[in-house]
Amino acid sequence: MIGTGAVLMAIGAGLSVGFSAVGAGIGVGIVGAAASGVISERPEKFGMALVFSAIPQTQAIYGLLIGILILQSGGFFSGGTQDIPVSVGFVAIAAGLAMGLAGFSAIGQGIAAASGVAHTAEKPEMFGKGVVFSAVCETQAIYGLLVAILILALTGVLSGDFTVDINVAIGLIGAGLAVGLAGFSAIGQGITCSAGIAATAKNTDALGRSLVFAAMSETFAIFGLLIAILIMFGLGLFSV
Amino acid sequence: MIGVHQSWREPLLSTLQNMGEVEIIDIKQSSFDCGSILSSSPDSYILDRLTHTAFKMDQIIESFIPFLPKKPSGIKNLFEKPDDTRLPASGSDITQTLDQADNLIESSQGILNGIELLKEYSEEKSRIEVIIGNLGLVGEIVPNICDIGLSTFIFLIVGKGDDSTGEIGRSVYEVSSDEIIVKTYQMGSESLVLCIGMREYFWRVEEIFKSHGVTPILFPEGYKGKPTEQLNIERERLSQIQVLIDDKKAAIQKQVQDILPDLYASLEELTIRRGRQDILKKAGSTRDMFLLEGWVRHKDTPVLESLVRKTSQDEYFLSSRPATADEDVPVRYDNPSWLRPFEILTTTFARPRYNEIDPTPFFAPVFLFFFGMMLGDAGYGFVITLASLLILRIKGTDPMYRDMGIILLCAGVADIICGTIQGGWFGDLPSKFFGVTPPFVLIDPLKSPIVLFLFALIIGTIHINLGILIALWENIRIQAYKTAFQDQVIWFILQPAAALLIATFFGWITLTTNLLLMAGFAVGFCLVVLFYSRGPMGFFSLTGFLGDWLSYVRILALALATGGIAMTINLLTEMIASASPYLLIPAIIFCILGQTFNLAIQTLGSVIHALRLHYIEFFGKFYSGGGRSFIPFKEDRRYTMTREEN
Repeated sequence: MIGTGAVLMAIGAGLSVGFSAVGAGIGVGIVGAAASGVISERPEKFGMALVFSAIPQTQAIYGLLIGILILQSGGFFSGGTQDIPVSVGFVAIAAGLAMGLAGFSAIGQGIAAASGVAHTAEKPEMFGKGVVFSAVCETQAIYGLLVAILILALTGVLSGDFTVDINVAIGLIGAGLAVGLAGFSAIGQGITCSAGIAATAKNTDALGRSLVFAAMSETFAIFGLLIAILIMFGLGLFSV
Repeated sequence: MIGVHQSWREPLLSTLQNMGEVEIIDIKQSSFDCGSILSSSPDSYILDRLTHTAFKMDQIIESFIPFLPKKPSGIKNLFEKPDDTRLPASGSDITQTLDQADNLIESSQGILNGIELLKEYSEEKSRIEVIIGNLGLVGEIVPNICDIGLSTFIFLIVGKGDDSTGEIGRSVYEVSSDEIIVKTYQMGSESLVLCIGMREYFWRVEEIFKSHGVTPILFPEGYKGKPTEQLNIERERLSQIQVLIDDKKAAIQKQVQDILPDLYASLEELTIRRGRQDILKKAGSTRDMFLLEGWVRHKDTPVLESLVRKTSQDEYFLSSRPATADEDVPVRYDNPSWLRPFEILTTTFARPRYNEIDPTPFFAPVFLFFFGMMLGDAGYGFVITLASLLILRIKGTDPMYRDMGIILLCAGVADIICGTIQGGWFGDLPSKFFGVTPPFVLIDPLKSPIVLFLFALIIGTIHINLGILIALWENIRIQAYKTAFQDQVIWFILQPAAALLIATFFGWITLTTNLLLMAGFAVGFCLVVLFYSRGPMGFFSLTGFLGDWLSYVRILALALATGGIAMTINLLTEMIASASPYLLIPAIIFCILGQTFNLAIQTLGSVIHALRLHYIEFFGKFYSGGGRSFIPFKEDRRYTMTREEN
């Protein structure tokens, strides 16, 4: 008999993979459209375009990682899902939301990478700078991944300890939402990075200052991370 | 500024170009205020001849390149050994160099004629192929080729094109409905339209065919008999012309491979000589003197003077002075050889301005450390190290590949060390499949994320404060004491004081009242200074600092991602292999492909995020860059070598 805890854990894994895959899919789609335009004119740029297209895929990989970790912790691969408490299910949902929602940062990354494809096609020396700008927008996903792992590790779920308190587990959903929703700030950051790539293509010296502008949108993601850490702290996850 | 007697002009230019340590600037804008009395004197005849010959040679090389063996592309190219054959440089004077180039161009003429002949053969081949195609089409419906076209009373047109709507037929019947026949045949993917009628309608019918996109098929003069017979003759001609093409192509390929190294060497020599002539536009002359002005590193001045003295046999003068901050001073890096490959990573952000600190010595070791910690898998480290050694062995003579190989080698070694500490060997592959526990594990990111989390924050604190310390040093050096206090010193006060207050607030430590008051006063004072110096933007300085600090936790996140994904691949491999004994081989293939994918994606991520921590969090504290690159007057020899090199 499958318990409610296992059902909630499965939902948590689904949230992680599903949301991050939507974000990554849209992001890769944006780059893919730009890449198709570029290779129709210059087929030799296929390799470069492929690298840029791969950048927003990372969020889906992170989502997959958390999904697998949740399922593995719940014994989904070994048939041991019967005795999972409901509280553990809520922990999985919190982790899934943290990573899944932060996966939408791939949209911003796609916007930046599309600009990278277009400008690198014209100026091959823009490749490195384009990749750096595109990577800046991944920070939100990394924060999401970090909080998701911390939630799973600090509650003991990752190591098979299912004694987490139900109220703590529900509270952790707040941490997941904080860092996950703050991850949407990457869309604004992607727009700035896209313009930053254009500015740097025009004037190489603009790189440093454009990166500073791009990093400003990240402030809001850091607010989300900070609140998530404070929630975890307040719920006693950091106590020895 | 360097001045020599006119007779030493060419030897001086050759010496300076060979030395490659001076950037020549236009003497008319000389800070020595002597431009007005000087005239520049490039030899226009020589310059024109050099330009013309180099252009001609470049065109010849371009037309020869398609006959070279094809180079592999992509990853294969990375492991393709480059052809580093170098010929001795022409030590002769410029006229002899030009004559040698002219001789080579003349020798190339025979090959160019061969290429022209090959083009004619290829065109003839295309013509025959078209005829064969047409003969194949009309062979089914026309008994004799002679029937096509105009005869004494009638005409016969066969055209290629689509007439599925029957529009041609209708248009033709409007011309004459009684004496014209139109029929459409479907020949495989193509349609044939045949029309027979009275001679006087030929031109109008042909016009109708063309206006409907149907091309009349015509054969050259002298074609007669059954199409099938003619088809056999054309096929025979095609095989003959193919033999001619193959023979000619092979002969040209051999000739091109023999002459191309000489052409490249000659073009390189011409380019070097033209560089010397171009520099004359920036130089100045009086009746007896030849003068040059340029930038040179202070430490290179004695070597430069000694070379000029030797070249001019003591008939020279050399005057130097330090650069001033308001001048457009070019910037070149001055790092030990092991650090030079990493300069490209600094340049990717921005080259240092004149008199600004070069961050490369701080950047390189920390970048490698961050990369190693983020990738955190010794197995991947070994793969990267092996790949780098292969690149260095095969392409080590190419500076670009050598630099890339050295960076990869260092990164691979850093990853082996950091990966061993983190216990990552293709994830948990040794323990999962062979029951082997990796040795020397200090921090396992998946088992002890909090330890690595704290470690990342400590590393971040040290790295950010190193940046602030460098900025403080720079401000003290230029005596900007106020900026040093407002922008750097207050952070050294604010950080420990705020840390004490936060630790007390959360109950981690207990402070005495005096200490608490002192910490509170220090924080208050720093905030006042911060808001006084930056206004409302001071708030963003605080959030920015906090953001920079927390940003270092990406070290943990990326380490977790590498280990976690590798572990997932191993888990899925185990599941596939345990499903059936027949799936063992597919499981191994899946594991190899999965680990390769993870290696590629995580290496890219680790490089980018290690760069980002430097470009945004570290450089943001002390470095802006934006310097102009030093462009030396230099011989760039790739296909030739000087007597000294030889």
